[in-house]
Parts: sequence; C-alpha cells; structure tokens
Amino acid sequence: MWSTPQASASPKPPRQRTGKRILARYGVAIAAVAVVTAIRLALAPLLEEHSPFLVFTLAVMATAWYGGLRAALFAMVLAALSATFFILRPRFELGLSMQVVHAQLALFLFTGGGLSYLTDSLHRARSRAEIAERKTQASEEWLRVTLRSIGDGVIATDEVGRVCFMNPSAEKLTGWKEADVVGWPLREVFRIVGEPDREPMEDPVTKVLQEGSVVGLANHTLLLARDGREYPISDSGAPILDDTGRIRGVVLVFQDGTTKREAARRLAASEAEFREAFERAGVGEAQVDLATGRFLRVNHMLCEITGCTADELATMTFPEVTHPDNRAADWARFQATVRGERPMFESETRYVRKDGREIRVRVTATIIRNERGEPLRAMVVFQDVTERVEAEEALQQRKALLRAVTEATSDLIYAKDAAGRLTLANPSTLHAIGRTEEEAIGRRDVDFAPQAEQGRRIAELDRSVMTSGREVTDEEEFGPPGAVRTYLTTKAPLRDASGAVVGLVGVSRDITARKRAEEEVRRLAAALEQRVEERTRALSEANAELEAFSYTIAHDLRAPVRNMHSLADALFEDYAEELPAEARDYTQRIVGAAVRMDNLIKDLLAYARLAREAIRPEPLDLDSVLTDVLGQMRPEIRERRAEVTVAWPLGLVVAHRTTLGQVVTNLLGNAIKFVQAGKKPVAHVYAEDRGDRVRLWVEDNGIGVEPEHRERIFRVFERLHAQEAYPGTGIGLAIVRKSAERMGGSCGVEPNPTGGSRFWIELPKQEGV
Amino acid sequence: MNVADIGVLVVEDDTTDVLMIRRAFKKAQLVNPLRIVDNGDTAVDYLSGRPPYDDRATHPLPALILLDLKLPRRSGLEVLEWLRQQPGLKRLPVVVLTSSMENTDMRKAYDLGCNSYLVKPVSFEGLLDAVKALGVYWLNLNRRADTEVA
Repeated sequence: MWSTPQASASPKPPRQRTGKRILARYGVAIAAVAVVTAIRLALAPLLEEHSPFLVFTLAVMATAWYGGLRAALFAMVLAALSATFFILRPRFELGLSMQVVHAQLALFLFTGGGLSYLTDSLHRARSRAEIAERKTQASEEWLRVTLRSIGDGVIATDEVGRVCFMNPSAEKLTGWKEADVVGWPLREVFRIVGEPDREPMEDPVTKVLQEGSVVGLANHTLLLARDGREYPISDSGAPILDDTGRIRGVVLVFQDGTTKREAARRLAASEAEFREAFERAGVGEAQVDLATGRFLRVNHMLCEITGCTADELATMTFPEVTHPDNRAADWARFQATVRGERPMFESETRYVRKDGREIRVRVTATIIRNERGEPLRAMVVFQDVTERVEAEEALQQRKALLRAVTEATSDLIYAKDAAGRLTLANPSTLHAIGRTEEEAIGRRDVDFAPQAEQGRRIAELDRSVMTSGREVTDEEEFGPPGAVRTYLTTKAPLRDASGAVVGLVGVSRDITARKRAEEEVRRLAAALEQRVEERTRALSEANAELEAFSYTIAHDLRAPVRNMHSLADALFEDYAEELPAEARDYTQRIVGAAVRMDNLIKDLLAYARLAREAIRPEPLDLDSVLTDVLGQMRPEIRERRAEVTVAWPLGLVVAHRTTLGQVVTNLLGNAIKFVQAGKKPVAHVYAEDRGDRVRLWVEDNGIGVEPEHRERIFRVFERLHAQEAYPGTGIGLAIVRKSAERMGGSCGVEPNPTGGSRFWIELPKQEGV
Repeated sequence: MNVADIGVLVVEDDTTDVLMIRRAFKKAQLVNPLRIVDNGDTAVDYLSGRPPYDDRATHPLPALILLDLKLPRRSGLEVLEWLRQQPGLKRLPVVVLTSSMENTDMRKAYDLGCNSYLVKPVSFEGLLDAVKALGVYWLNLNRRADTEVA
C-alpha cells in the first residue's frame, strides 16, 4: 500500500555531477601537492635535502580523505615528481643523484599508498556510519507517524505487560492519554468483557507473553472505556521479538467494531431491501444476459406483465417477448447500449403476452459493468403502459372527435374562464366575432361586441350562470347596428375536480332567420285571424240571411204551392160533374205538380237544416229507430205492396235520433221505390258489427245502381230517372250522406249479389256493448 | 152552452188559406163561428177589446185561436207571447197552424205556451183531417178554463 519514505540523504550521488566530482577530487590532489611543495620550498633553507618526501604524506592523506583513494595515489605521484623536481638536487631536473634518495622515494611511495588506503577506508567507514544513522532516524520517525496515524488502536507493552506506547486511536477508544498511562499495567487501561455475559476476559498481552505467539480475540468483545462507553472491538496481540528471538514486549492492535458491524448489518439489510425491492417492485425487473438476451433473474411483476411464470421466463430471452415488428430494432439498440454507444436503452415497444394479447411496454435497460468498464449483464425495467397508451390514444381520439364536431358545426361553441375570458372558440365562433384564434383567446366579449350594450348583456348572462351554477338558456344579440344577429344560447357551468365553478361552456345557434320567420308567422297569423274574424262575421251574416231565406222558403214558398193544391182539389171536388174529362185531368196535373214542389221544398229545407244545425249524437237503440220508421212508412209500404224484413236485434249506436230516422226512411223509401214495374219490392234490413262501428245494411231487389253512378247518386239534385218512371227530388241520398258525415259515420252502396243494391250507413258503436 | 158561443179566432193573412179553412170547417160540419183577422196587431186589438172590436157582443172572445206564425206587423210568436202575459186571456187555447217545419219555430212556440202545433198540409185532405181532429178535440172534448182574472 504505502512504501517506506526515502532517507533524506541518498548514498548514490546523481550521475550528472560525476565529471565535476572527478575534477574536484583531482583538483584537491593538485592543490594539496602544490601547497605542500610551496611549504617545503619555504622550509628548504632549514631542512636542505633532508626528508624530502615526508611533508608530502600530509598532502596525500588530505587528498585521500577528501578525494578518495585514486586521487590520493595521483597526489602521491605528483608529490614524488614535485619533490624530485623542486627539492632534490639537481634541482629542476627529474634525475636522482643519490642511492639513498631512491630508497627514500620508494619508502614514500609505499608509505603513501598505505596511508591513502587507510585514510580512504576510514573516510568511507565514517560516511557509511553517518548514512546509517540518518536512515535509522528517518525510519523511527516514519514508524511513529505511521502508528500515530493508523486508524486501529495500537498499544505496545514491555515484556512484563506495562504500557509503553499508545497511538491516538487507542487513546480515543480507551479514553486514556498515552502520557498518563505509560508504565501502567495494560489491564488498567485496556479493560475488556465478553459481550454476551459481560464477564471480564483474560487480557491478551498476558496470553501472548505466556504463549509467545500471535493471539486473536474472541468475537463479541466489548472494550470498556475510561468514560464508561463501550465499544465492540476485534483485536489481536503479537509478541515483539528481538534478534535473538527473546520476547521484548507485546503489540496489541484493536478496531472499533461499531462501524464495521453497522456496515455489515447495513449491507445485509441493504441486500435484503434490494431483494425485496426487486421482487416486489411495481414494475417488471430482470437481469438479462448481454450476449443471448436470456433472462437471468426476473421479478414477480415481470411475470404478471408477460403472463409467463418465472420458470418459463428462465428459458426465454429478452427479444422473444417483444412483438415481431419491433424485435430487430429493439435488439439492435440494446446491443448499441451494451457497446457503450448509448448511455441507456430506452424503448416504448409492443410485447406479446403468453395469452397472445398485445401490450404496450416501456423498457429501460442499464448495463452493469465491472471496474474495468467491461459489460457484465443488463438490468432491465419493464413497465406495462398499455392502459396509459390506450388512454392517451383514446383521449387523442376524443379530442380529435370533439375538434371535428366543433369545427364542423355551424353552432358557436366556446368556453370561458371565471373572468369571462375566452379559453376555447370553434371556427364558427371566430367567424361570428370576426377575430382569429390568437386575437380571441384570453379576451372578453366586451372587447369584441360591436355594441357595448350587447357585451354587457352577455357578461351578465355569464355571471348568472357562474353564480347560480345552473345551466341557462336565453337569447343573445350580437352584431353591429343593422346587422344584429340573434342567437339561442345555452350556457352551462364548467367545474373543476372539487366541483367549484371555474368557467362556463356555451353553445349558441344563430336563430336570426328563424326569428324572422317566426315574426312573419306571427304577422301572418294576426292577419289571418283578422281575416277569419271578418269572414266569420260575413258568414254569420250570410248564415242569418240564409236562415231568413230558409224561413221564407219554408213559409212563403210553400203557401202558394199549397194554395194551388187546395184550389185544384176544391175545383175538382166541388165542380167535378160540370167539368169535362180533360179539365179534370188538368186539375189533377196541377195537384201533382204542387205535391212535387212541396216535396222538393221540404227536402231542400231538411238538407239545409242538416248543414246548419248543431247535431248532438247520443246512444240509440237501432231497433227502436227502425220500429218508428216502419210505423211512419206503413202506408207507403202497404201502398207499394212491399215486403220489408228486419234481422232483429240490430244493435246500439251513437247517433242523432231524428237525423238517423230521416236516413233510414230515405234508404228504405228508395229500396221499395226503385223496383221494376210489376215486381214486388222486397227489402231486408240487417246490421254488421265492425269493431268499434256498426254498419246498417238496407238490401233491395230493385233496379240496382251502375258502378259509374255509385258516387254521383249521393250528390244533391242528382237523378238517374225521369219523374214519370221514379218520382223524386234528387236530395234523399244527399241527405243520407250529409247525415252520416254529421254523425261521424259514413255511407255507401254495393250491388246485391242476388240482384238489386245494398245501401249501408256506418255509425259509431256504443261503448261497453 | 150555445155552439155560437164557442167561436174560433183565425189569425191568418193568406186569403186562400182562410178560404180553405172555412171550407174544411164546412166539410167537417163544424158550425162554430169563425172570426178572421189578417195580422198580428189586429189579433191583439181583437183579443184586448180595442176598437173596432170593443163590442164583445159582436166580437166575443174565442174558445180557440188558430194562429199562423208568419204574419204582417206582428208575428204569431209575438202575439202568443203577448197573449200569455194577459191576465184575462192567458188560458185561451192556441193552436199554431203554420207552414214552418223549422225546429226553432216549433221550440219557440211551445216555449211560449202554444197548446198544439200543426203544419199546414199541402193537400186539402190533410187540412180537412186536421180541422176534424181540432173540432173533436179542442171544441168538443176539451174543457175550457174560465177567463176570470185569478
């Protein structure tokens, strides 16, 4: 981990300085020899030629001390030359005069070499000793610093177990200061108990001293500090041995286990949390093999999403669950993420569940890498976003639909906020106010209204909707003078989630055209009413006149006819014997004409009465009506020798008695009248139940009615025969039809299968019968 | 009581009708005196005894009134209405003899208190039958109330 610090003085000098160093060494030699030569020359008068080399041994020794062995040998040679040249005769020559001098030179060289060696060796030894001293000092300093700064507590004792060192960590844990406890027995400072039973434990130093080997502490050891705190610790003790293997002391190393134990506990908890989180995550999670995409580990939610069990997924790969359309692209992107080309794999894609259902899934993957950055596996998260996507799509569709509707309609659709500012306006609205969407949104009606009063009225209606919280429908006007348009507006409050009114939604329909039409209708109706009134007045006047007219006819027109009749009768009766046969015939013809005229008037009056008078139908028994009619007609039936049969009972109807009597009289009269001369008239009356109506049939054996005349005969004054053949007024059947209509019924004629005709009248049946 | 006292007042403007009524009375052998007035006002004058009818000896109150409805000056209905309000006259039997078959006329006549309503038949035979019936019923069988004011 960390290397020992370099000693401050390096034994090896740097190479680049070697040249200078050599120069210095040999410079020392030259200088020393030169100095000694100078000194010898100065002493020459005194010493003559005695001991010419002796002084030079000083130069050689000095050179050996400062310049080393080789420089000393060099100085010795220099000294020999210098002595020979400057001191010995012949001076300033290199020759040697005497034998003794040769011996002296040889002795000098020998002695100088030995001194050089000795001096150099001495110098080296001293240098080495200095370096060793410095190294030891540095090493001790380093050790001290190291021990002080180490995180573990360290206590060293001597061979009898007395404290001689404590580092700050140990001080902190034990609560004692090193300075206070040096020399104390260890157990005073380092008090330990077993964690479970709190029994004092044997102090490790004693054990180390006894056993002479490294000792570890039992687990769950508590250190009781001076201030009463307790620390779970783990420690070990080791003997300090000297070179001879004798125990010189014990070093005890211990750690505060609190943080470690906490860390371990946390790690375990974190691991459990992670597993829990992984398993119970609200999203699908999986670890995936990078090369094959195989699922290595899956959680419960992923099983839910894919519809597969964990065992099934274990045999499947990550691309396999992807929809075939998306598979290749997703896998390519995943691989790009593995290669580090993209930081993260993200995809909103389609999956196919085991049950075949297609779902939308949001997949994110991160690549787990080792410290060298090599990919190991992928951590993939799956979210089923089907509902969200479908909801978004549905929302989009609804928005599009709403937009399409609001854009397609000619109605004005808009929304306003609580301050009356437009928040939404469809094209029809924008067209009506003549603004673009940008100009309109955020502004109020008072800003648009061509007439200030219109804006105020609209704002007033808006306020009433928002304060009442109820839907309001009213008419609004908008537009410049002369081009004001009317709108039928419905406004409903717009509420937020809490139900508070935050604005309104309005729909306005342009009803200008309709209003105009209604106005026109009202005007026309008023005019019509006036005309009807006028017409009614005219009609009632005419009616009154008609009544007077009818009265006149009834009274005045009949009087002369009656007079004609009476006078002709009187003439015939009183003067029959005096009149010729021809005159008698004439009087009879006058009587006939008077009778026809009177019948015509009576029928006309009856017909007019039907049209004019109110008829109140009431429940009637047809039997009683027919009995009356037959009674009244008995003379006529007898006269014509007719046979009339009735299929009693006929039933109950709702009709007007007098009117119905007239109808039956007319029908029965016709039935026995329109018969071929000489043939016995036979009539049959019967009723037919037709649900809520009763049809009364009058069947005859007469001459019948041709199909082309069946409608005609019911009209007034329509006659098919001459008076001489079948006398009549041509009003009888018109009265039948009018009577049927006035009583809410109908009438008609059909040919009788056995010859003749079948006339019928249909009337409402009495209820509950 | 003398038959001459059981007179009939005929209120009729049509002379031919009057002629025929006289003829019918004759043919029916009814000898009751017929007194004829030809309009409503005259009828009222006669009945109330105003001149020229103030002499009850020559113009006695009738036992029966034959009243036409369509009359000059005052209509038969007006005469009837007036008559039923007169204390001494209101119980006189009145037979309406008219050409009108209008329901309104009939209803009004009965409402105003006519005793019978006859429609003039177009033939003399019919009139004769009616007059015979009148004679039998109103002039012979029917018991008259007195004319006292009560």
